[in-house]
Amino acid sequence: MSQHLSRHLSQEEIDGWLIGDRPAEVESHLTSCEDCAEKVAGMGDSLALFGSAVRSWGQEQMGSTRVFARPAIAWWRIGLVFATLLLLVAMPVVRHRQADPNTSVQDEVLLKKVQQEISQSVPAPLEPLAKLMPNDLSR
Amino acid sequence: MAESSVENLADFDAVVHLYRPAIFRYVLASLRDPDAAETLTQDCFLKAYRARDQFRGESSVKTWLMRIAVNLVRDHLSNQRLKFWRQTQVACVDVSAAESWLADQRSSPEAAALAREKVAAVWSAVAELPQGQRTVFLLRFVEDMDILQIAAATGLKEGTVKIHLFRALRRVRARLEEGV
Repeated sequence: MSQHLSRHLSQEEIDGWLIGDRPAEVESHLTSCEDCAEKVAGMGDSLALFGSAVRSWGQEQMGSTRVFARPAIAWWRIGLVFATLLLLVAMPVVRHRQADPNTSVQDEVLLKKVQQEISQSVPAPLEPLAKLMPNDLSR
Repeated sequence: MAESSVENLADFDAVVHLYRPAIFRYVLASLRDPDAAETLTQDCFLKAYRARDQFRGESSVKTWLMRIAVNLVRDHLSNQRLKFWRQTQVACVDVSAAESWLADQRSSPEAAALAREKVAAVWSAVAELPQGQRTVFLLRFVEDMDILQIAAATGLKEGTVKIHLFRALRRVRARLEEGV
């Protein structure tokens, strides 16, 4: 049940009404008091004009701006990772294939030479000395 | 497009389509810099998109997005500090620009002039409000959000929102009485 106020609305009650705080007694008073209704309407009109102006202005300003683009999946990053991995795997193989074919032959020759030198009882640089020594000592 | 149809954020394009104007408008009115407003609006939806799985529907999508926007504006302003308003006055949008964007065409030139004066007075008062008061004022009188929604969007208690609004209205009224 609504109550009637026997006085005019205070500034706080008018502002409360404007911000959305709307008790029944204030509502009832506003229907019967022209003075208070005029005060509320005057301030309310200014605020409504302000809101309307900002909304129109915002709409106009937004019209020329770009549309939101959601972040796409970074396929290029995924591709880059795969490409790097592929490169790391492929590089040794390619290098091996591109290697000089004579290299393996040269390696074989060198290996044989080393084997030969190891198998000698006296190293080649010491052979002249070994010849000068008696046979039993040179063994 | 109905608001309820996008409450689950599944169709994010629809969310952007529906709420971008409100977010942009709030940021623009707060910063008065169209370029910064555009950037922060993009940032807002980018953040929302990345965090869409965390949205539990405890508030409306608009309130949730507005909360992101309020935080972005606050961070932006705290980064800019006092430099912001000085730069705004010089390089960005004319503070009184909005008065010329009245959708409501008044019946007579005199009424239209009076309406423009009122809007200009409110604009200049809003420009001088502390950030917290300005935020709740814009959410209430531009975005038509109620106290509960504003509290959810700003992270303030309802009582604090009301206090900000009462103080902001007092300043705006004083400016209107001076200027009109």
